[in-house]
Amino acid sequence: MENVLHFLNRVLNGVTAVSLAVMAILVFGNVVLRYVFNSGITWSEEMSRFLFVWMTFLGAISALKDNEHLGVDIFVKKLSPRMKKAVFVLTNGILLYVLWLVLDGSWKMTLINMDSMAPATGLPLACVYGIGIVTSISMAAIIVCNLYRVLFGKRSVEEFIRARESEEELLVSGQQQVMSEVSGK
Amino acid sequence: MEWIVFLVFFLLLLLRVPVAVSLVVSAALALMDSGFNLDVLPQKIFSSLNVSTLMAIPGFILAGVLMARGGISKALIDALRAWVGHFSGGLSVVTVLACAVFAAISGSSPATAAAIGAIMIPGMVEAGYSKRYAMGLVAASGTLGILIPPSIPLIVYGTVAEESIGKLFMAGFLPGLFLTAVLVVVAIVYARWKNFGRLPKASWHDRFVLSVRALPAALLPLLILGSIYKGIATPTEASVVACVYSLLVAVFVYRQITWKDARTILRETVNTSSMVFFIIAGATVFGLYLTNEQVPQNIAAWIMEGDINKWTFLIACNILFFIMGMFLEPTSIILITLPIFLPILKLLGIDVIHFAIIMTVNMELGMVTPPVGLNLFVVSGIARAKLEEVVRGIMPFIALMILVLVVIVVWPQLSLWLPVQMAN
Repeated sequence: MENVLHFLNRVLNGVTAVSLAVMAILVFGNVVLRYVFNSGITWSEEMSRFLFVWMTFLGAISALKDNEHLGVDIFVKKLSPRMKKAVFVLTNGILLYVLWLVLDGSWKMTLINMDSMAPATGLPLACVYGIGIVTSISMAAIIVCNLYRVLFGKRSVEEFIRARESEEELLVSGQQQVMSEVSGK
Repeated sequence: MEWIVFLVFFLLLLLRVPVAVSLVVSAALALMDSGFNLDVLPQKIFSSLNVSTLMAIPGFILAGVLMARGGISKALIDALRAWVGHFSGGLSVVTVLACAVFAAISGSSPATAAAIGAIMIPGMVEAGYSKRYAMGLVAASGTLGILIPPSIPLIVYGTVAEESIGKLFMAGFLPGLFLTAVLVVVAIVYARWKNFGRLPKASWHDRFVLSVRALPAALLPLLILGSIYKGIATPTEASVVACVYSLLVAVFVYRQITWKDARTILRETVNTSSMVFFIIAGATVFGLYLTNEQVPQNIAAWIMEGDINKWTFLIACNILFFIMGMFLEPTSIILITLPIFLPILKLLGIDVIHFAIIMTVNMELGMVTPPVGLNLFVVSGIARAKLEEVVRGIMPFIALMILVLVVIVVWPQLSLWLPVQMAN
């Protein structure tokens, strides 16, 4: 089971990284083509937007898995362990409700757009809306798994209660490590 | 009803529900109550992300990560040290200027504080500066990251307000330089008063060698701002050009990044970006509620009835942003408040671009005010110091930044002169 999860995690990270890289290459390629060859890739702007949407949704799965939501935890930190557990169950219940809304809407949008094609790339628009289905199911699975771990004592609620207080905190944690190595040299 | 929705939102925040989800839930409950069909929510979420201008955000984040990991910031600091390190307060000046240059690439305050602080705080303490002062200076100078263009909050603001991001970037340039100049002057005066240590004067040969080494790094801000200002590239294209340039410099000039690092760097960027966009998606749903219930129009009508003038409104906004900045990060504040304020700005004749800069300086203050001032946590982590110590160190700088904010509020031309020139 652990091996499967590890593999899925690597696939997720790989796909998001490739989405970002391809998006950058397409935009940069278009700039070069425009100024050097006075031409461009007609579908690049649309494709990079689609990749951007996929990257965002898949990145949200990754962030949930690593407990990197953007939240404020100054109040919850002060609660007793039992209250923390109750709050954890409540907040995850709310998350599941939102994911249901996204899943339900995305499913309907995907079905409606099965035959609709994007003007420049010719891709079915269902490909874009379908990512909502993948994301909501994946995130719901992570939440159910976390709830099981906390409720049945497999993991401490403290491990999940920490929220990111800024999107840049992620960036900083990696940079601190690197920069302290640099300054230590 | 409006108050109940905002109350639910803040209650959910207190319960540690992610910001994006708090926005969706509070809005969805109100929309359901008014018989709204929630099936359209995912469509709204998708359309909010399917916007070209937002693609600039991962670009600038990636450029910042590449710069920090690629040894680019160290090259800049070494060159600045060689030129001004021997002056009284020279290291303080190096810190402020290095933050300003890094800010012109990354668009993020905590990233700026982390990258520069990791090198400069130990260096300043070693040279005899008080640790408290060094930490305060880095935390304050780090805030330049979101004022000097490119700026992630300004990209979000431009997307919400449907304003030219190029114009917003130009609007942030002079106020950014003004804050830099104020910090430099204060740093010099304070260092002379306290008689802090100086570095030995570098030889002209060292200055030349280090400047040549730092040149590729120093050209990056010119490349970004020049391409946008001259209309050669859109902000999104400029961000990607900055990434490619940073990558080439980091790999071939400074030789600090290998292909092994690529996956980590890309993942770091994706995770950081996704969090911003997750909030944008949530805020779109919240915006749907605001539009549906005509909240901005109701507030505008209330302001008209109360005969509130421009200055009263601006003072109230500054207080509100200052308080919100203590608990929320910039993206959230912009996305929650701007849709409400936009009609009021037009009503009171306040320039939308000027207001963007007022908002951004308030966000800067939020970055350095407890309990959730992220720059404080970053500096505390780097310097391995108690948070209270960093807070004590930042206090004089908060007062200074409030003075700068007052100047920016009462002197709109500081923000508007460059965008006007750009339009001409």
